[in-house]
Order: sequence, then structure tokens, then C-alpha cells
Amino acid sequence: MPKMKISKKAQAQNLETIIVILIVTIIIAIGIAIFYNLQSNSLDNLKQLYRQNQAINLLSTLPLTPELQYTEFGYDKSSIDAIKLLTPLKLKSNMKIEVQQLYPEKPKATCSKSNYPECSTYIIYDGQPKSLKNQEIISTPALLYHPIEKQYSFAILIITTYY
Amino acid sequence: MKQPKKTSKKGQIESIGLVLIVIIIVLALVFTIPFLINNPDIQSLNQEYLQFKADSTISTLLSTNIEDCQSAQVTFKKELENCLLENQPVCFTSCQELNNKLQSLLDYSLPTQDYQLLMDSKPIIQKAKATQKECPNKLFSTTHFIAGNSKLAIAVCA
Repeated sequence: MPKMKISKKAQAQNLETIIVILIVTIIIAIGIAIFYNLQSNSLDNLKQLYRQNQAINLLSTLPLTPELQYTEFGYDKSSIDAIKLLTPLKLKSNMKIEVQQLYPEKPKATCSKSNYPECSTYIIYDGQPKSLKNQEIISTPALLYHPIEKQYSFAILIITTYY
Repeated sequence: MKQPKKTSKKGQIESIGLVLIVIIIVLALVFTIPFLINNPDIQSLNQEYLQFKADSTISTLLSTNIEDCQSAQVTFKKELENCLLENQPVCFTSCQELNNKLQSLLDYSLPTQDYQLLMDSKPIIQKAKATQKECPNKLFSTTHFIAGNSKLAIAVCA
């Protein structure tokens, strides 16, 4: 009889240990799941930050590049040359870069050498991949110079990033 | 003699369990808190972007030529100066019409933000709740001087 008592106590203790291990394992599993989710969200935020940073850098430097900048006798005029926008840029990126003239208002059409200057949208680069559906748009006003009319126009430089 | 020894051992084991639980909670907090705190990088980047946008908006706006104007090469800056000095613009029929045009361009440029166009710190054009009370965190563009020493700037609600 005493042997049986000890055995029953041992069994109960074993069961207790198993339950404790099970509960601790469940808690650790839940912890890992929460940590994974938080880590994943943090990485998504980091990716978004990187994308935004890249787009803002491009937004601020693009009008100053020789490919787009309007210069007069070598002097920078802090504006984009509309004629230069008719030649697409050679880039490799999941982006679409366009310039939309808002003032003076022009017919809503994509600009090409045949319809310039009677158009309002200049697509400088279109690298939209078919597989990526999400997009992030950032924009800034830009001064657009029309060499033929010798007029400065109010335009918006728009960068759409696909991801 | 044997009984107290047993109790002490059991007590020690229970204290170790308690210490382990505390260690697990502390570790969980150490790993979780950094994620729960708002990431300040995105906020500061958004503020930099707004600041950049406000700067380019005002400089672009002032350098834009007015269309269908009798006098050639008149910019919005020149027209604002005309309004400020003589209360009569050259290309627009009234200063109110000029302000309406400026507001429509500002709306295009800052579609989601509340803003004020400030002349000598007084708003001449304003959108929505850009007052000090409702917008505690204002970002100011670079100041442009028109008609000598009048200061023109844009305040954007961040």
C-alpha cells in the first residue's frame, strides 16, 4: 500500500511537470508569434521609409540634373526645361515619373514632339511592372520653362513608386 | 530535523520558478517595447518632405508667369507687389481675383494639408483649420521678400 501511494504521488508530480512544460511551451510559442509579427511590421515600416526616402531624394535632385534642368549660357535657372521632358529618361526602377502643367492650363494630353506645347502631361519615365499593384505617390511643385514661348509655368513633379 | 530541510528545498525550487517567470517577463518587455514605441524616423521624414514641399511651392509660385497678360513676363511675385503697393494688379481685375488664383494653385500643390500664405506674418490666404490653436505644429517655408521688405511665407500644418 505505501508503495502504491508513492507511485500515485510520483504520477501526480509527473503530470504537474508535464502541464507546466506544456503551458511554458504555449507561452513561448505565443511570444515568438507576437515577436515575429512585430518584427515583420517593423521591417515593413523600414521598407516604406526607404522607399519614401528614395522618392523624396529623387524629387529634390531630379530638377537639378542636366537631363532636365533649364540653363541659359551655362547658368542655372532653377527650373525644368519643357523641351528636355520630351525625351524619356533611361532609368531602371519600379517608378513612374511625370510632370503635370497646372498653370497656364493646357489640353489634357500626354506630351510628345508632335503635340507640344498643346499638352499638359509629360511622362519622363514609366517603369510600372505588371506584377506590382500597390503604389505610393509623392509630388512637389516645379517651375517649368517653355523656351519657345519664353514663359515659366507652374507644374507638379509626380513620382509614383510601385511595390 | 528532516521536515524543515524538505520545506526549505521546496521553497528554493519555488523561488527559482518565480525568478524564471520574472526573467521571462523582463525579456518579453525588452523585445516588445522598441516595437510598440512609435517610429520617429517616418515622422521626421514626413516633416522634411512637407518642409521641402512648402519651400518649392512658394518659390515656384512666385516665379510663375501670368498667362494672357498685356504686360509681358509678369510673375505672381510682381502682381503681389502691385497689390501690396497700389492695391491694383496689372494682369488680374482685382487683388481678390489674384488671391483666388493663388489659392487654387496652392490647393493643387498642398491638397491634403492645411496651410496659410502669410504676408508679414498675417494670413492673406488660408485653408481650413490652420490657426495656432487647432494646429500646434506648424512648418514654415523659407521667407521671400517682396516689394522691398515685406515677408512672404507659407505655413503648413504638419
